[in-house]
Amino acid sequence: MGTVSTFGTFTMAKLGIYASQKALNVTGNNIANINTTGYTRQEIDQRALQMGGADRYTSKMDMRIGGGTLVTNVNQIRDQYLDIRYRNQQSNVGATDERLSVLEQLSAYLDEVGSGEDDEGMLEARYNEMVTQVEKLVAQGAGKDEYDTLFRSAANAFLTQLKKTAADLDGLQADQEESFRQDLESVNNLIESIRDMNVDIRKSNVYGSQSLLQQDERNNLIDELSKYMHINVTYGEEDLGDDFKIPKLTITTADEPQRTLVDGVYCAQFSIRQVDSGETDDEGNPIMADDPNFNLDLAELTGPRGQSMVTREETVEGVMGDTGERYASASRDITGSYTGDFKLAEDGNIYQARSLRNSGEPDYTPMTGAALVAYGNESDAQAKAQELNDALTDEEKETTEWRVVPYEDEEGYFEVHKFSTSFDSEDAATAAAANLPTEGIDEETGEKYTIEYEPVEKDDKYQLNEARSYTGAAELSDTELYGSLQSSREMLTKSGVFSNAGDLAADPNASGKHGIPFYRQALDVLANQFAAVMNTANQLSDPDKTIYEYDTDGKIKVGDDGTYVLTDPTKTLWSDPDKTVYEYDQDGNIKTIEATIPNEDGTTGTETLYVLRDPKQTIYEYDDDGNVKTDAAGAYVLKDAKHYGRYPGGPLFSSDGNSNNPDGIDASNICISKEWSNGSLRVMTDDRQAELSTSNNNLVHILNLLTGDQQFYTSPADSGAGDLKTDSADSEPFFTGTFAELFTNHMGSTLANDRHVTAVMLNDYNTTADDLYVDRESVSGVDLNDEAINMMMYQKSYSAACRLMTVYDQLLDKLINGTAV
Amino acid sequence: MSSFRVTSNGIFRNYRSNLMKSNKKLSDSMLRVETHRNFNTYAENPAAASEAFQKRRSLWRTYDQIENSDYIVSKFSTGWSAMEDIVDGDSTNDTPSLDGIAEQLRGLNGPTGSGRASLGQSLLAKADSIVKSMNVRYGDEFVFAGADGMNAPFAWDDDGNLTYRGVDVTNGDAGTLKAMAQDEHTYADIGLGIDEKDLANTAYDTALPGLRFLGYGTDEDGESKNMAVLMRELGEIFYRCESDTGYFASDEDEARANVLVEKLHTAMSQVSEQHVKLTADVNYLNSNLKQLNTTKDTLNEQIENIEQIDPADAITSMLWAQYSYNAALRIGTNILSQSLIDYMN
Repeated sequence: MGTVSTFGTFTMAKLGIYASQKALNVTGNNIANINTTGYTRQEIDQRALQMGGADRYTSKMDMRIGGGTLVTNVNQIRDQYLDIRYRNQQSNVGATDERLSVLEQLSAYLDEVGSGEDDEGMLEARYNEMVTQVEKLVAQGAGKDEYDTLFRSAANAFLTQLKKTAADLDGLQADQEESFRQDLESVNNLIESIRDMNVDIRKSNVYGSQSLLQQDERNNLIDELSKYMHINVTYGEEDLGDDFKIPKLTITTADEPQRTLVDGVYCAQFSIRQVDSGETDDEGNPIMADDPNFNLDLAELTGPRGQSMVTREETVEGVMGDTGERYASASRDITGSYTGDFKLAEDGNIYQARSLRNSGEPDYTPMTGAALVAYGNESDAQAKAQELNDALTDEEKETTEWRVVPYEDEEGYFEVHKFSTSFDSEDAATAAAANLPTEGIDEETGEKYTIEYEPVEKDDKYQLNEARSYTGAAELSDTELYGSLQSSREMLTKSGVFSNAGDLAADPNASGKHGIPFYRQALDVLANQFAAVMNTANQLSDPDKTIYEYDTDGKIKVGDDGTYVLTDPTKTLWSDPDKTVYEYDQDGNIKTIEATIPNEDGTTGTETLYVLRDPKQTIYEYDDDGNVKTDAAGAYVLKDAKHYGRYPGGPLFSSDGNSNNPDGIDASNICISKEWSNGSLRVMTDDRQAELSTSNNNLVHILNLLTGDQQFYTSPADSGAGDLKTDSADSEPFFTGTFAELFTNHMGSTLANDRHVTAVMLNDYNTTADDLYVDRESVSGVDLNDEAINMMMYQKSYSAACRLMTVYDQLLDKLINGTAV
Repeated sequence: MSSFRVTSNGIFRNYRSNLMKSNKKLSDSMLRVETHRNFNTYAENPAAASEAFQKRRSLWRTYDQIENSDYIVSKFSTGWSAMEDIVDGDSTNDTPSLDGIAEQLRGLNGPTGSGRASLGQSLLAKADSIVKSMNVRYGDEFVFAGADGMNAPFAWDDDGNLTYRGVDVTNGDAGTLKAMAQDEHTYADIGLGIDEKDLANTAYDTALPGLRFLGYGTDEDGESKNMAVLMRELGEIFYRCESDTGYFASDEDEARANVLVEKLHTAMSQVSEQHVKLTADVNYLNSNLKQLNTTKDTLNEQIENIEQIDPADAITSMLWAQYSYNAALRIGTNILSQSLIDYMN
């Protein structure tokens, strides 16, 4: 008969009551947390109690009855696969959401649809108004002041709008930069918080607690992090010894090369890469600044007390590949250990920089970085030297030679040295004194490692051991991350067609990515080219600026002798007291004549001289003696200021409203030039210097420039002479069309298409993310129907257990008080 | 994982997201009705927006071209009126028409003619009047001044020679005269696709050099080809005739008059031709103006077609969106809150 104590059945009822009560508590907790973000529904883990052990006396008539129930655990119900899918989708949502947000802000400044009076746009309308004034100037305004003024006012309105747009984009860029920094800080905080949660959870786990709510909280943080970047979450185990294992959470970036962000109680932090700003402090040290491309570095994995974690250790050996012989590049000092500057190169050879013994031929000296290869016999060494010499190019052979020299410290060994006539002994000395590098960066993965060198004993002289310790620190490449942080960075840095070779090397798709800098730089091109073509069109005497030197005001420089300064000093300047212009041939060059010139010694000689235009056809007033009249200030008096056709012209636009400087114009500084704004300069109506008051052929030219196609290039080849954008390295223009088309059609539609596509993508991603959230909820979420049923179920079981206790009580009462008394 | 399990919060989340979408649709369709526009951002329809801007730009230019044409028509009409005065005579100044002069000259074909002296006076007046007419202005600009519109083109100098911008129209440098008459152009954009590489075919030349209208230089006999010059000289000769008999003051005068009469006939017919040509020019400009106005209307219509909504369509869409939104709201208030707990005692 089984040994059940008299009061054992009470215990059974008690356990039933406990179990139901606990289950009701869990149900209550579930209901209470139904709206708690990230809460995972819990359920109890209940087991039937089997009384253990064997009875001392057994009988085959004996039978065992269970002892009630035990609540062994409270569990969370979670599907990790759904977590992964949800978080992947979150990174898509984050990436497109951030992108769309910046594109929408850009649209606020650049999208002209439905804006302005009668939906004509803003910049577009100002440009069209300006062209209207030029049309009027052409058809009816040549030679009339009021039309010139109207054009200037319209141009000024256009420039003001252009500058405002540029300033708006600059403001947006600054805001976006701040937003990126905040996002970066949030990411770092999230990573650190997850690490801290890991520390808490680990502690709980060590003491046997389940830490369910901490896990919920951690999941929330991970969900949050997954918006910022595409991550991979794995749950492993940490062996604490004695076969006691606890769970360990690891988070890495999801795409190759996977960077470890959190590894149990260790975590890494992101920072903006620091680069040399090009400036130095008072002591001459370079000042470091944030990388303008906002590339990120990942610091090494550290624990809560700042202790670092080594993720991997490697030992690298230098081995001579073709002979199988090991070699050493170290020289020995008197203690027998090796010293010097060792370098392990990509080809597997070890190179050393040091001053070597002289070969005896003073014109050849061992070269810095030359390979030193030791061989056991001279013929092998000679063969190697020959092979290396054969591999030299003819040009290299002139200065370089590989030679075999006996290895001084070990008889019977030979070394192959590289000798050069162009060896710089000072460099060698410096290199020899340099220390071995203690840190390296893996060229393929950007991962950082620390280097330790193993002392080489005499017997191992042909081997150099280099121990590398990886700590998780790395320089992230341009395209490594994905998610809102990367989108934010791309909108901050990507310049589309303006990407330079470095940008394209870092990101081959850079030319298709249009961040704020693309639009800003396109505005600069617009402003610069507009100013350049208009200024060129408005200058008569020397449209190509090839003949004269110009000062910063765009005026021809005058030399000490009072004559114009020519860019080509080889040609003697015929005395030009009137500072008139020259006769030009059909190619636009100054005509020359062979003139007979008296020499100082009384003889005559022939000289090539420029041909002057008829002095009477110049632009100045002449006095009776044929000299140019001067006003009170000493300036030449113009013949007739109203005859604009005679006007020599000048820059209409400048980079500074207080000057006439036509160089360095961009969208933020373009101005009406000082001369045009004060009326001393006018739009040149005729480019042929004909004295005709209403001739308009130059105005027609200007109209054609404004309404005709231009070719727009990405970078200026020449920063002077009006900065006309042409790029010899990139001979294809990035856009051909009118100025208005560049802004409204090219920039506008690029932005619009980007925004359109991104919005569609975001909608898709959001829908999928919603579906996945609901899927996840269907597993982990609390449902009121579910809990109501549980509540009823546990209420019934509780009542039943209580009833059981009453029954036993009655039974015992009968047994004790009512039996055999 | 149980795909059959639907949780309260899952339903709420779906509901919230769908309600937001429905509300967004309603808001978008309302915006369309309010603004009468098919799209309110470039991103909504990049291709249509881009096309609309191109059309709007063409419309701007068409308005400019209409204004340009209006100006040129007025300028040419002023010129035409002046020429009309010259050809048909000016009743206010009582100057004869060219036909009248020709008629009178033919009537005085004999050796005698009592009307010569008075005709001479009339011719002198006409010559002066012609020069004044040719110095007519439109606004600030001298109509017949070629490309030098700010300066009066014709003047009689102290020696009685007619000058055009200071150059004697008869004996001035032939090259200069030809250049002033033929090579001066002031092109304007009247919607022919102005292109500076081919202005003659893509723009309209608004320059009216007076020389071309009155004639310049000398013919094969060394005589002036300018009508006003011929008229003045002939007028002087006739004016010298005896007033009663009409006898010439000298034989030389008679010989000279015979030559001049013939030349004047030729010059007058050429001026008449120029007048007819100017009439054709004005007609062309007027028809071009009509064409531009048609283009303007067409462009306006095209822009409206691209940008403006079809009201029936837009309002129907808005009502449908409103209906969907209301239905979604009803779901929220009536159904969502229910669960088993609501029915438990």
